[in-house]
Amino acid sequence: MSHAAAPRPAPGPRPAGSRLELRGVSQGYLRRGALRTVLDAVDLALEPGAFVALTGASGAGKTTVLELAAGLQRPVAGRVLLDGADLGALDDARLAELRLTRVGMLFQHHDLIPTLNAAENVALPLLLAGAQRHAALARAERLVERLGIAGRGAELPAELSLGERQRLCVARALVNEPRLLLADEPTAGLDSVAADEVMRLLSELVDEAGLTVLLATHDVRAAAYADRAFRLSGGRLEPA
Amino acid sequence: MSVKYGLLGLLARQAQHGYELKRTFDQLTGGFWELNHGQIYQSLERLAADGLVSYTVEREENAPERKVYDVTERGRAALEEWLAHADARVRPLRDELFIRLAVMADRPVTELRELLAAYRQTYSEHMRTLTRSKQRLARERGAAAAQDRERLEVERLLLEAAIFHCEADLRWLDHCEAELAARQRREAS
Repeated sequence: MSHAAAPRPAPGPRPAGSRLELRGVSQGYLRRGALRTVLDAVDLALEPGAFVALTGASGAGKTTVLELAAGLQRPVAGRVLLDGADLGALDDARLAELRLTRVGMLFQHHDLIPTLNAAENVALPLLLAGAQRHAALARAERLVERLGIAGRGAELPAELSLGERQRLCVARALVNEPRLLLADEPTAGLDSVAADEVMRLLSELVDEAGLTVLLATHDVRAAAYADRAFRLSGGRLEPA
Repeated sequence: MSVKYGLLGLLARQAQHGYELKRTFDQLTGGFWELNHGQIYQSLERLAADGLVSYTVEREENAPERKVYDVTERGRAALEEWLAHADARVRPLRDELFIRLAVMADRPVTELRELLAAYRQTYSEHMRTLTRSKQRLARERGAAAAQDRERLEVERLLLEAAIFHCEADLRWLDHCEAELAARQRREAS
């Protein structure tokens, strides 16, 4: 079955988001000598600016879809297209460049560098992409102002709450102005208030930028921030 | 019962006529507990008969006369008495889906899964609608004058109640789905 997700109808800037397509994508792993199919000929298309949630039980393949979209995995069958470019045809160097410039990634683990302060952590992807330190930090500081931790850019991650750390991760994922945001369980381990703050921030920032978002989550509250949701079950996608 | 005290509570804040009272009540409960005009006027008549509210008749030119209700001393005492004794009870869990599931218990698992999937889609859509309302309220609260913030805050908390209920339903549907999928795999092997 083919699934297409249209962009949000809300007024705002023109979508700057990417178009992401999975065409007949299958993926499997060898486990104890047997092939275990995780994705079975999955079709999914996200138009620029679409915000889509992927739900499903643990092990259903949500993270696999995200990693395929980021070019971190290559499918055993089918194609993954980002703005028309077949990720399977790109070499590792080109994929790494694509991730750095066009794809923002947000994970459940607050993988901030403990010795860098809040603003430096946010600025890191800019610095890795070759931006000037001064300009990168200035942009990071501006984003930090949006996180509800204004004036605390100089604090280390350990001095922030879990929710504040995850909001930093949202800012870090968006600091490079990506066109596609891939978020994997961004509210895991957070209480409902902190999780809401993360999701509200995320949806505000992606709305402003017109980004395309693919959110993998088993948190039904978080999934409801998306415009559409699909559920992975038995390797197949169904509307949820 | 709680409608009666809800109306008394609103009148204790400010005397109002019936139409105004309906609007205030609907607004306060975030649209989740809408009263029709009949319910409002019937409740007000009963409150007046019990001496808990009184009214004055307002006459304006070219307009029908209106009764402006206010809470009496007796009404105020009844309200305080009600507020002081919370009657916490577990709500009954009734849903057509439960009956359907019970009736379909011996049908093939695929039929049960289809039924649950249809419900999940409806609940997910409802959850998205509620979440959009929550985002709208957060924006309104940010831009609101100080005196409106408390009302918007309560409205948001009531909306949260609806969201938590919907979340519980969705998680239960996911749980059923996981168990039924496991049953189907066992039957197939």
